[in-house]
Amino acid sequence: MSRIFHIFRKDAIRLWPQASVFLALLAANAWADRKFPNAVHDGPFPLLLVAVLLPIACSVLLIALIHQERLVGDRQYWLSRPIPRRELVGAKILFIVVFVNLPLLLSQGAVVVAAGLPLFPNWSNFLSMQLFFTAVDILPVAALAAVSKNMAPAVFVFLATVGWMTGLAALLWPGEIALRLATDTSLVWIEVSLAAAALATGSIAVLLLQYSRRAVMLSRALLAGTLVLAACSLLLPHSAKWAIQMKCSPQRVDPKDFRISAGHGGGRMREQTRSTTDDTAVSLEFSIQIDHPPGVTMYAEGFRPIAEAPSGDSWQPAWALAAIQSVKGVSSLLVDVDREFYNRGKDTPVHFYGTIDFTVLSDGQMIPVPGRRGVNVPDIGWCIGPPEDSSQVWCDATLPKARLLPVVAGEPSGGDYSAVLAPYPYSAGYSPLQSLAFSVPPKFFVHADEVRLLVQKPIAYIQRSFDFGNIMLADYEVGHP
Amino acid sequence: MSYAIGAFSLTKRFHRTPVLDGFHLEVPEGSIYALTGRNGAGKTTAIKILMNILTPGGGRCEVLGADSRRLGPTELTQIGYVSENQEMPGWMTVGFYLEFLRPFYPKWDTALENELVAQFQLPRNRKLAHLSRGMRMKAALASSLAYRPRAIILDEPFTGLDALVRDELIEGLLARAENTTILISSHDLAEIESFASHVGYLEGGRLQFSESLESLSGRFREVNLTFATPPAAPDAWPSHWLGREAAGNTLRFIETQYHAERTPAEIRRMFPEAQNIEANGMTLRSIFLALAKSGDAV
Repeated sequence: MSRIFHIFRKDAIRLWPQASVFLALLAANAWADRKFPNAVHDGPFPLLLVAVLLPIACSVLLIALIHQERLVGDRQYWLSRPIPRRELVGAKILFIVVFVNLPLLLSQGAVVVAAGLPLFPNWSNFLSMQLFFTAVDILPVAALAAVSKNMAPAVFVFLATVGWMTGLAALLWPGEIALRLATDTSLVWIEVSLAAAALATGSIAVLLLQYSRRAVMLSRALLAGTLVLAACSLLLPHSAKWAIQMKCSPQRVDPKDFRISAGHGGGRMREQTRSTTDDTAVSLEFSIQIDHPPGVTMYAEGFRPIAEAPSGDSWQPAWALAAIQSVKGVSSLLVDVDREFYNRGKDTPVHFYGTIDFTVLSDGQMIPVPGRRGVNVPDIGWCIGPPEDSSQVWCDATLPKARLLPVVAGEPSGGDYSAVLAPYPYSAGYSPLQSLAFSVPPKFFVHADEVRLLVQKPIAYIQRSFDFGNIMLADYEVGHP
Repeated sequence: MSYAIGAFSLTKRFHRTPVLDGFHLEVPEGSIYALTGRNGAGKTTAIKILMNILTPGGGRCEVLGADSRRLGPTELTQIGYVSENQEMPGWMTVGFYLEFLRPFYPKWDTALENELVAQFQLPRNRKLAHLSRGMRMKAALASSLAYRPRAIILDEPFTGLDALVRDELIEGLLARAENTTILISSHDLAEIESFASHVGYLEGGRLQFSESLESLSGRFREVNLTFATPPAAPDAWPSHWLGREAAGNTLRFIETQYHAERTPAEIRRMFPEAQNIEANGMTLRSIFLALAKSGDAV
């Protein structure tokens, strides 16, 4: 153990300049986190620079640390010295804990306290954030350093890998990734968790292999495979992600209590004006009825429609964004159908069925819109009311466990904030907070006391099927006379 | 066990180029073994395999009874290694370097360390990167002698050093390395000759010979024959006679199997008309050059 401290002391003496830069940037970033919550977008340039330089400084520190006893090559003095590998690894871990993990924990704690949130009830969230940071920001960089000879190749490989994977993804799935990243956000914690698990497992394997056998070529291949696997986990199909999400349901509910059927509105809701502007799709609108127990709200997360024509022609997308709108108690399902399929089969009966994924939310307490001084909202975090020149409510949370829905005179009004209701914080970044913003209805500025916020907690994640039978698609086209 | 360091049927390739091909080496305990060979012969590769820095393609090595592939911290506390191309932590001062290494060696002798630092006139407060090449080698040697290793492996330690520094290094090494087995690879044959007890010559991936320096010096002779008229070339030429050169009435060659009685008799039989026969002893350098030029095993 004393030799672990001995190696640690040597590294600390050698790397104090790099460590000092990192710690200074970390402190500046923590200060900016509270001063300019959205520094990347609207903060002053020096703070933007801090946000960019911080991960670079961290990576430089980690690579320099591993390269103190470089594993690639055959000329290093330490290879012929009786320095036990376990103690060497122990010293590196100690250094990372002391100079990276611990300062990060302290800075995150300071940010949380400054945001008005309690410190100790959040200990499990801090632990989760440390794990994600270690899995995504520390281990892969350390593994990269373990298979590279010096800083330049390590940085080059890192940049080349990111560029190559981005280019390949854009080539293979043009537009799809951007669409999914933009729309399928509620399940992003699953993708990030899987990617983090892949990165952590692969990186640990690379580090073990390098520190035990110095098998450079094998380790490099393993690291490349790890990066590809992590990238692939970001492309997990929605159905697989939802299957995982359903296993995370806080409560068990009886699926029979939740039913979807064709509504009585003859199809379209004439009040709706939504139509797609996409040349490749046609917007259809179905009046539907959703039956569920009282005191809960169903929030559609994903949609898998299937349309089959008698000719055998079919339209079956892997995933589509479900848009369910409710106006005066009547719900409608909005679907963008492939225009080519629509043109081929719009005047013949088409069997239309599929599944919809729902988050079942329990209607919780109704709270007033927070004032300018802010209030701690249970299961959300610290929320501050809209300033005079804005209609936005801001909430800071380490782990939001509920949605906030603006309600005017007992009726939902406007969109809720799209918080990701993950079972644990999955951020691998430096900030411990998720900043959530949403707009209050205009009525708030006239009759503030009529506007309330409904806190809705998820109780289950379910998948329900629907079957509209044989229908004529043309009857449901938005804008159809 | 009669050897402290051994390599058996060792092979090693870099990509498709064979560097070692059935390399066999036995360094007797307590000996000072000089591994010689031309540049690129594989000396450094062999030594790095012995030190478990490189893995062998085939065969095995032993150092102080341990399989070289399993050389760990315990074994390395008894082995010193100094190499001309070793990367040292240039940011450390000499004093910090020695202080850093100290806890890893249970038998580190601080008094001996101080003696070595004084003998080599090493400036403790100067960074290794700021030392001359000679001083850096001295620092490396001091850090490898201070724990009284049972075996010391030196890879081209004298390359690029002036004569004075070389003498100081050798003096320091010999004075502190009693009962220590030393394996040294070097081009500096004149220096090696002054202290090596055994010598091996590596060529074509394997040792062409390996024996005591006394035996080697005894069997190599430069033979000069003088004739009344230019001699006619004999039909058969013994394989142990190397580097034949004829100039006017004289003929010169290297006898690699010299025997005080047999060799003159054999020469008389081959060249009955020779008027004068001279068989002179050779330096290690001359032997090395003769072998390198001939490229034959002897």
